[in-house]
Formats: sequence, structure tokens, C-alpha cells
Amino acid sequence: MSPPPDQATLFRAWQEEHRGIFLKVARSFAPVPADTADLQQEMLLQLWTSLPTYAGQAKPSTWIYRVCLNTALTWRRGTVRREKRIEPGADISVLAASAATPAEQAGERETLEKLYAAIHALPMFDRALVLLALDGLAYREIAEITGLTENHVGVSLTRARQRLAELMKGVTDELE
Amino acid sequence: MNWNDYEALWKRQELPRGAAADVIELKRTFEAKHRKMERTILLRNLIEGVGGIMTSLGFGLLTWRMGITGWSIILGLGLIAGVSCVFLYDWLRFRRVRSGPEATLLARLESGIAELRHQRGLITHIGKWYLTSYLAAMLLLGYGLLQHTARTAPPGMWKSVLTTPITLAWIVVLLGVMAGAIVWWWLDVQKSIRLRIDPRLAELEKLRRDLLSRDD
Repeated sequence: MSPPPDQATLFRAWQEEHRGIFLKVARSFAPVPADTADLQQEMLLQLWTSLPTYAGQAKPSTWIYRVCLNTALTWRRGTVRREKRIEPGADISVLAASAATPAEQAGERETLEKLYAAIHALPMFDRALVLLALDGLAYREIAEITGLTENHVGVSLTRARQRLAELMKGVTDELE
Repeated sequence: MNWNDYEALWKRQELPRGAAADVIELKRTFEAKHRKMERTILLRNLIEGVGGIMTSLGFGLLTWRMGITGWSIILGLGLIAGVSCVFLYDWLRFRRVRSGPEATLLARLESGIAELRHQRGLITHIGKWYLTSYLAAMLLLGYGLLQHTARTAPPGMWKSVLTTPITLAWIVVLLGVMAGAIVWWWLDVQKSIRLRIDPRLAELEKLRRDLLSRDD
């Protein structure tokens, strides 16, 4: 039996494999780029802190979602800016659709920007639920992350989707 | 556009490849933060917890060696040590019950709210368990020392010392300073509840309400 990977190796692997989670959560909760970077750093730090207690009972993605969302929900804007950023190269405002023409890409990028803005306008927990649902997680997985029952997740998500649809209404009207 | 379109768009988004987090830098940042936090906690516990126990032990040893004994001394020192034990117990309890960042959102919120409520309760009633204990301890120790000196000092010494105008003035000033310090400290405690704990508690309770609210 091979020994378990050490903390640094596991951290690197998770960071690469699940970087989308960090980026999407950070951007949804802290839309200003400087804040996004701060929040991402905080999430990475919290993940690093929690890694020694990971016993493999939950899926890595579930674990990472929990850490990221817990950090994002309690994160406060305006905390002391850190001089050294862990991920200075990441510019998450550069979002593009890969298999589309430049015009379509620009349109999609704009819609995506508005989708992020709409998500950010939602109440905190609706934001978390919508994020998880957009990433394609099943009710069961969302329940594992939030601690709610699947039934409760279903009800809350329906409400959150309605709110999102209302917020996006103007955008989709423009596009149609 | 409907939900499926949003979901498709969300999944199609291209995620920028930033430089991977430097693990060594991360370790350093974490350890620096951790060390700072540990130092702060250690200092607070030394002052509030171990400090009280050491003071009562040291003072107890000193009075015992000087032959100053009696129930009031023992009770006074016991009260000081007892307050310290409350701090230490609370610190250990906090370490035991706190939820890590990997807990479910609900568990983490519940834990945060419970901790803040507990802290608020401790601070709100600080006058009862902290101040009263310390004042009682000071009175008891003072009483014990006076009893001892009454036995050993020349007859009439205390009466002549305590009744001079200068001594009386000093006693009044000292009592005034002590009362002022207690009032200032009390106001500061209330301010910290109002400005730090209450807003945070309200914030977490709102988050909890949002999480658990259902429209059905």
C-alpha cells in the first residue's frame, strides 16, 4: 500500500484539479479584483490549515467547497491587504468561451459578467446555492456541503433560481 | 435564457491559469499568521489564566513563609486562582468545540453563533464572576493582612498611621482611582460588546436565518 501523499503534494494536486472552485467562489463573493485575490488567498490558507484533518470521508471537491464557502461567507472586505499575494498572476476578469467566434465570445463574456453580477446581488446563501447548482452538483452533494436536508436544498434553490432569473431578466431581454 | 443556458455558460467559462500558489510561501504565511495568533493567545492566557494562578501561588508561599495564614488569606487566594481557572477552562473548551473550516456551512454557523453568545454572556456578566471575585479576594487578603499586623504591630500603630490627614487623603485618592478604573473598564467592556460582538452576532444570525428560511 502506498503511503498517503504529504500535505504539500495533496495541496498542489487539489489546487490544480479544483482551481475552478476557488476562482468562481472568490469572484462571486468578491467581485473587485483586489478583493477577489485577497479572498482567494484566504481560501487557500484555510484549505492549507484544514488539510491535516482530511480523512478521506468526504469527496475532495465537497471538502474544498465547504472550506471555500465557509471562508467566503465570513470573509470581510477591507481586511488588511497582504503585501505578498499567493496567486499574483491570476486575472479572473479574463473569461472567454473557447469554442465560439470573437463576436460570440464577446457576447458570452458580457453575459457571464452579468451572471456574476446577478449572483453577487443575491443574498449570501442563495449565492452559495446557485454557485453549487451552476457547477452541476446534485441536491445530495449540496446538502453535504451546506448541512441542510435535500428537501430544504430543493426548496431554497428554487427560490434562489427565481431570484436569479429576476435579476437576469433585463439581460436576457436584451439578448433575445 | 433559462437556467440550463446559465448552467451551460457557467461551465463553458474559461478559467484563467494563474501562477500556482507557492506552497513554501503559503507555509510561511500560514506559520507567520499562526505564530502571531499563538503568541497572542499565549500572552492572553498567561496574563489572565496562568498569571492569576502563579500570583496566588507566589503570594500564598510568601504569606505562608512570613507566617501570615488564616481562612481569609486562603479564601482570597482561592478566588484569584478560581477566576484564572475559569479562563483556562474556557480556552480549553473553545479549542474542543470550535468547528474547522471544513465543517458544513450550517455547522460552522451554529458553532460561530454559539461561541459568540457564550462570549457575550461571559463578558456581560463579567462584573459578577470576575470583578466581584477580585474585589472579594482583595478584601479578604486585606482583612487577613490587617489581622496579622494587628497581632504583630505595636499597639496603636495603625490607628496613628491611618488617621493622619495625608494617609486619609491617599486612601481617598486611591479609592477614587480604583473606582474610576473600574468604571472605565466597565464602559470599555460594554463598548466592545456593542461594537464588536453584537454586530457580528447579528450578521451570523441573519446568515443562519437566510440559510434555514423556506418559503413553503
